[in-house]
Amino acid sequence: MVLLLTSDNEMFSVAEDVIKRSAYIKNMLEDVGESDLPIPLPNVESNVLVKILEYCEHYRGEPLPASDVDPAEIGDRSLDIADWDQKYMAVDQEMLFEIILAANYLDIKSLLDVGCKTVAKMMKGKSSEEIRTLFNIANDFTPEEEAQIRKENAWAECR
Amino acid sequence: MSVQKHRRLIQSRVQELESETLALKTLHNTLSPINSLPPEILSTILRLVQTAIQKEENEILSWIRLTHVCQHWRAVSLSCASLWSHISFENPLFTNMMLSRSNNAPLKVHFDVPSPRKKPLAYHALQEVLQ
Repeated sequence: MVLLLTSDNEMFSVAEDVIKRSAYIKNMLEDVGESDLPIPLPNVESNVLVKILEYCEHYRGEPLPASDVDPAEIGDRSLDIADWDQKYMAVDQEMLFEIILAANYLDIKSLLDVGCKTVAKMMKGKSSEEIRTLFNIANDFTPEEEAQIRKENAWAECR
Repeated sequence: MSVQKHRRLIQSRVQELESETLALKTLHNTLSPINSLPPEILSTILRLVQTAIQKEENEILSWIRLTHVCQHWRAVSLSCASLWSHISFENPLFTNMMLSRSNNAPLKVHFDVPSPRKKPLAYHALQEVLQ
């Protein structure tokens, strides 16, 4: 078992084969070897770690993705998401982005991939204004930037 | 105080308030959970949406609206060269913009023989790239 200590001082005891989906933890275990000391996760709160462990538990025993996949290549992929992953990602926005941040920190590429695709699907087909409303973002462009944006829109429409 | 001077003072105050408003909006945007993501993850998400639009939608340049959301997204997208490296030949001005923003990223060039309606602009764009 591996002990994990979250940022809000909650201790978790997790089976090694479950948490090894995290390349960060896997490498740490390989570097440090067996230890009774907990691994501190200063960037992950307990409620988020519970969600992360739910994901790792679900995919327990599944082969780990290749570690040499360039994260930049994720951007070229389709937005297809497995049914279970879609249900798993049906959380409020705050939790969704916490999961993505934790997946990035813990280096769980498949979860980061699903998180990015989930957000991309939310954005696809929406106008700038609709995206602002979706994510509670204000239009903070200067009049000069607005003029450039109008130009770019005109170029995109004039074909 | 003359009316003209009064007007100048008011105008100057209006400009101050306008820039203060924009600064507050930028500050407001830092509180949006999506803006807590590191730039490289936001770039990945933008590229995912761009790829999906280019594959599935008729308006293949409409992904540009992703760069029109707020100053932060615009800064992130302008510094993500790969977002601009899939060169489009729909409009020469758009093509030039993509070429300049793609910096040193390897270019992906795909030129379909366009419909007669699009022909002049598309060929002009291709000519610009080849030059």
